[in-house]
Amino acid sequence: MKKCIVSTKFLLLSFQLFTSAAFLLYIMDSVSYTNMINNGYINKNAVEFIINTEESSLDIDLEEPYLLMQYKLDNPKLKYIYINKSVKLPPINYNKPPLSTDYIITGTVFPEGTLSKNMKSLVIGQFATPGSYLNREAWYISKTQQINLANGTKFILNVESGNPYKLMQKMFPNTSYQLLENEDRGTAILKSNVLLNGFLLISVLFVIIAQAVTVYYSIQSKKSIVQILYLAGGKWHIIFRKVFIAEFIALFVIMISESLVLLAVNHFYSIWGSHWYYVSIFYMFITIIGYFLACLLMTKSLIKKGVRSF
Amino acid sequence: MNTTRLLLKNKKSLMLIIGLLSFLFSVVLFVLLMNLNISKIEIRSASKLHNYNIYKLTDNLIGEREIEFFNDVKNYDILNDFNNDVFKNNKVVFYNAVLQPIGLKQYPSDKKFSAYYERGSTNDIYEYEGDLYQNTKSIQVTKSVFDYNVVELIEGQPFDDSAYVYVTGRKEIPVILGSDYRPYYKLYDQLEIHYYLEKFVGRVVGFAKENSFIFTNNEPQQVLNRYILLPSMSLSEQPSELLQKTEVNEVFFRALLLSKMGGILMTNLNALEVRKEIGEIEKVTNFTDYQIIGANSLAVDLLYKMIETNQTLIVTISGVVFIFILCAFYLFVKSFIKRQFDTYLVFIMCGVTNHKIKKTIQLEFSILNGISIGLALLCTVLFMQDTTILSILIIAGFIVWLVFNIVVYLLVNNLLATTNIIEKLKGD
Repeated sequence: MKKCIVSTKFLLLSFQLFTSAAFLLYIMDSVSYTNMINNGYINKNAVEFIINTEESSLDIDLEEPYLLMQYKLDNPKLKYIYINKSVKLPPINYNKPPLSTDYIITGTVFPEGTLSKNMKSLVIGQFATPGSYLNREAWYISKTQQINLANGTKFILNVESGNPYKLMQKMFPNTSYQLLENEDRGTAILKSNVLLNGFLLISVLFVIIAQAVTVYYSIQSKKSIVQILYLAGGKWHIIFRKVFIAEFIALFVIMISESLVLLAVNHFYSIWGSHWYYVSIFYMFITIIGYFLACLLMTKSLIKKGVRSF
Repeated sequence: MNTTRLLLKNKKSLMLIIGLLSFLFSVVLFVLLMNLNISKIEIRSASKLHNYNIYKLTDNLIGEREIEFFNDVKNYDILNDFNNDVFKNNKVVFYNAVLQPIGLKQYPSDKKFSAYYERGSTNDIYEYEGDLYQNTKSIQVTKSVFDYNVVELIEGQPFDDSAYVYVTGRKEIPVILGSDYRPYYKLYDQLEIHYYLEKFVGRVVGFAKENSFIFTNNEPQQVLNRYILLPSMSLSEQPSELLQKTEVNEVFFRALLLSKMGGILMTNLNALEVRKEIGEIEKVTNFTDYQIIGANSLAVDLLYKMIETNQTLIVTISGVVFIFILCAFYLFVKSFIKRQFDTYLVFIMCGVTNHKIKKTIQLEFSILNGISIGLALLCTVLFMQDTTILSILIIAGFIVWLVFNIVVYLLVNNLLATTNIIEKLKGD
């Protein structure tokens, strides 16, 4: 008798379904990121607010990743940007390498003539974002973490994950502000784009059901061997170990290797945040745990039935 | 019949799973087709704008010049004639979407409807003849705005032709509200509005769908959720006569004529030709205080590029995902049939013919898939509330059903032909 039973078909199918789920989740986040770019790099969860204070400047002292936009109410096209180093910037064609001091990126149709002479000398590149509101804007990327309120009192805060309101409160703890309810623009409000997300969600559901069916049939195919081993006098935990343990180990190996591959993808083809990556890992983990519990229940219930029949 | 019943027995879970996967597969296909159609409509609408040369028509009546011009009542008629002739000219499309706050008496508590909310203004309330009004976001639109944008209504009707004409004594104006107004008002509600210093009743004739947007000269997408849409009205009679007949404030007519004028000319003519065309109207009407500003098509270019990028995204992603789902579905059906094959072999042993088994499997899959496709079609159409491409969806559903039957037929034939039944029954 073999020491362990492993269904290569099941493992292969699981690997394919894990990959498919991760692929779909990545695509969903990519669509959101494309929408964010086209909306002038404003995330759907971004917070918009106006600061009311007598102070002339404010300091930011945060470890969390964020991208803060500051602009004047009467000139929303020139934005001052404060970022945490780890935050991804929109696609940019650099004419010169990015400076360690402040620099400016302009949109392809932004009228550079409206910039002062000093500001013009800081322009080092253009946004590579066709079909985005960024094309009409200029970003003054500030390397200091001190906000000069003479540059505007309106702000938009983008965060990669977590609650942006909490981060805003942490950022400006003793400052009075007025929250504004923001509206999406760009591709995010196109009906076809909204439906594309629905389409992707149904596809994810398809993968989840396919995964459930795979798990169900894998367990069904092992029922007979569990019964035979029990009739041969095996104890339930030995039977469980013999029949399933190797498959669990293989599934964990698949999960870990897939996690590493996805990590590499997340690094080289990064989008805003890593939400898709964590959900993919969670999905694989839940599937394996679900499979483990289902196998355990099946073994126990079969043995229970076996005891009754004898 | 008895054999068929026996063959179909004890496979409830299998049938349920295949039915469910077939249902989801069909939903994916129908949603994909609907989405491609929506995307086609969006790009067609943007193309209409993109293919035109765009010019802005503005007046020179600023400050003293405006006061001087409107001192003579005849000039009201001159401006009105000019507006009407431009509007009627068949070589240019006159497109006007004017963002102009109006006073609203029964204003909602939510401040986002206030005209200057985005600028941080917290007090847009003012008093007029003892009543309190809030300066509220509003856009006046010409009929062409609905022709060149995809503005769908959740309920109600678009403005009819009479809505765009001001007649003597008119006190009611139809209004279309943005989707964010839905919790506050119902269809046919009457709003008291203060419009160019005149009081009107705004009758709610419709609600725009969430995130509906229109193109304006400055904004590629002016989202309508928080806006009140009013028809941009022309006058049924010459303003000089209306001023004599009615007690309406002259500021109302002046504002109406000026706002009506500052629109966009969309045309296939080049800059010289369009100037010549409007010059002819100038000669006829004697109105000279206008300017045609060269094509500023940046906003429309951005809108077109955005929609084009979105369509590419949709076609690419949908295509890749659909091919993947198709392959996965095929593999699952194949493995289900293979899985059930051992059961069929037992029936063969009991004397059931190959032909009977083939027929039963085909019948089973055909009925199951037919029901799933039908249900998927029903659910998709009901959920989307869109029947514009119903015939295409029915044809697509039928093709899927047909292809599915052919695939099952080929799979079963192939399996029966390649399986050595005697060896299989022996357990080798």
